[in-house]
Amino acid sequence: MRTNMHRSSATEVLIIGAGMAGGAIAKRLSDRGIKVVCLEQGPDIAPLELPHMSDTFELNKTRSHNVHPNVRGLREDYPVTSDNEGSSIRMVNAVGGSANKYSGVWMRPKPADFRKGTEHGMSPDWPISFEDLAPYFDICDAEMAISGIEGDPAYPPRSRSLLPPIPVGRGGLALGRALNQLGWHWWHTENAILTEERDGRLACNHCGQCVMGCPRGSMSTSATSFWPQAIRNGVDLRTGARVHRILKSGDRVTGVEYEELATGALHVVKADLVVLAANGIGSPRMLLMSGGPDGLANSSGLVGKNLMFHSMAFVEGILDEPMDSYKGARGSPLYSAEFYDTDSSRGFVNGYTMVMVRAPGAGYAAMGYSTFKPVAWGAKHHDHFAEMFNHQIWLLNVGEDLPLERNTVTLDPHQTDSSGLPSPKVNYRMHDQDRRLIRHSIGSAEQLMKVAGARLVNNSGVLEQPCGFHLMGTARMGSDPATSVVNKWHRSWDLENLYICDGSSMVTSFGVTPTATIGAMAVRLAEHLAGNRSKLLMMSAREEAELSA
Amino acid sequence: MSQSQSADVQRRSREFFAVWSGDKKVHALTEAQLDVLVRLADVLIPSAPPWPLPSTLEIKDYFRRGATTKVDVDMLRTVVDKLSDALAQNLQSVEAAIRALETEFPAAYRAMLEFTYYAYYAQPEVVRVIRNQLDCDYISPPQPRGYVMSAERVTPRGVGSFVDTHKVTRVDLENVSFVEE
Repeated sequence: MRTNMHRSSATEVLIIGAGMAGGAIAKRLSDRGIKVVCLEQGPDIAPLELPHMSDTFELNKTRSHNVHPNVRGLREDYPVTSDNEGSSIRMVNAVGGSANKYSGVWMRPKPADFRKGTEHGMSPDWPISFEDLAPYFDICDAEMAISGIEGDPAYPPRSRSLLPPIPVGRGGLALGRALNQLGWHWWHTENAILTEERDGRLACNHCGQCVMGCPRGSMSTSATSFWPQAIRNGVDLRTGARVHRILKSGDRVTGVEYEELATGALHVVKADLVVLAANGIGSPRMLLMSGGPDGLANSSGLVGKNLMFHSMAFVEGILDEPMDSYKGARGSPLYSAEFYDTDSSRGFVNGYTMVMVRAPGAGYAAMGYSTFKPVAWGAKHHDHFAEMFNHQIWLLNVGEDLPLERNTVTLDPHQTDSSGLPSPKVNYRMHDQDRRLIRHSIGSAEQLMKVAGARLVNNSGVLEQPCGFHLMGTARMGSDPATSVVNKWHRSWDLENLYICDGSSMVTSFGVTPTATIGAMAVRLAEHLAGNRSKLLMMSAREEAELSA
Repeated sequence: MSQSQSADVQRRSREFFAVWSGDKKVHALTEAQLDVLVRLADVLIPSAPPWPLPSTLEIKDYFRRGATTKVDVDMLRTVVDKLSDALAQNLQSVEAAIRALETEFPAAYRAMLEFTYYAYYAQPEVVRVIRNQLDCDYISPPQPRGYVMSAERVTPRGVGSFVDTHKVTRVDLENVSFVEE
């Protein structure tokens, strides 16, 4: 992919971050002839940089290609600190963003998810509805090329063209039959994984190492699905471009100052409009770095607050029969939303999904994969390995966590990145009710595993610091400037031409993976900007909030 | 398990994830240290034909290529420092020393286990035994070949529902406490 020269310049729209939202917005705006510059501090990752063909791929997966930026320690990354016992953040700074190391699980929220304020009041309602966002889910899904099967009764009817689903393998067959036996909801999970060749990208060949990226291009990310067309449209994508601060004059932003990482040279890009899309940690960090003590766009005091990760737990079943445990797209062959909707008789509000995951290599499986119980060493090693390997099935339980002001992204006063910019510091402590929810999910998954025929069931316990691959809520949208950072169109209440669109915009976390929602929000924002470009800068955020979908 | 532990900490220790270093210097273990790790691998994964003994494979080279960062090299040096003396004694002494390492230096213990397991199961000879003994088609590394998978599916019963936006109402919260302990 061609990326452009660094220099000071001016543009109509400047996007910070080339991830899911940044890519979708850049592509769609440039489709309409709008001049776009996008600054991305990471590189454009080439397929053969990935370790899938190396004998050290499992070691690389946990080291040089780890999903945690602190472990990689790359110049384009920034450290994420925490007072907790080890922050658990997953993110990638590169074209395509953190989806470079995701599973491709592509789930939508449900209508009631946008009305939690009405339902129980521990979270606010979203300022938009499921119906407002649904058309943009469809657009984004079509461009991302989603695989799956229509007809999931847990959702309103939709009509889309899906690629065939990924194979479920013997583990999926066992779980599907058990779910049918229990009479619980389940469906084939939708995945952003090609099961047929498309646009020169190869279909998945089931290697199972999705979370290191895909050397075949089978995983759909903004790097594979949006950026090629955006570049052809003329978007000025600059990689190795680290934004130091957003520039401001009065009630408007004027552009950004960024560093060309290869040389250290500083450049300024001026813009009519700036879209911040640097993920649920990077975006609040950028806002906090760009202003005075409270940062930019923070009259609500909520920038960096209400951080959500999802509550999580893994459950593993070990069966007597072979389960194809080591192969098949890791993503998710199937999921259950049996316990998704609030049933307060359970002692908690909100709900969770149980998502089948799989496919560690032999070494990773021997180390205990998701439940962290390694195969015994010593005389019993080989027997233990043989009993376990290829006999495992796994569920990752994903629960909706409450937005709490105590869960924060702030600036670390001591730690900096390679440019001397302050690191984000993350603090997260889940609510007791969320802990009850995810404990319930462990019990449900254990019941399912036993019905599936598991002779042994292990679980990770409640992950008190959940796997932080879903970074949400830290610059949320809303209807009231006192309780939100942006309006329903992602526009800052404080700065007339600053938009924030990524996981930070999310008001609640839902009980599903967020990438599809981030993509849909980005497509919706791009359509809004392109359709109203002549009048947007003439109206305030409050006036804009009155615009209907 | 401590209440504050994360998935990452459970996998690989706080030391491994809490550090950030811009240090790009390549660190390395000495040949003697690598030899100790290979001898320890033989204790962790003893021979049981047809499973080969680690020291008969290319795991020393794997350790050499794999251990290049300060955090890994420091942890593996700890392993060598704490277990070398025991290797001069009998098997029971080595096993006791490994158990002590697990308790006293859990991060180093995890690093030792990871390097040993990853190295062992990456060896072509071991992969062949997995295929033959465990009756499967496992390959390593997984690309470029990948796997062939059956398209066989089971059909969901079609159970499930959703609540329409306009039908969302307040739930009864009598059974839910939002007060934290």
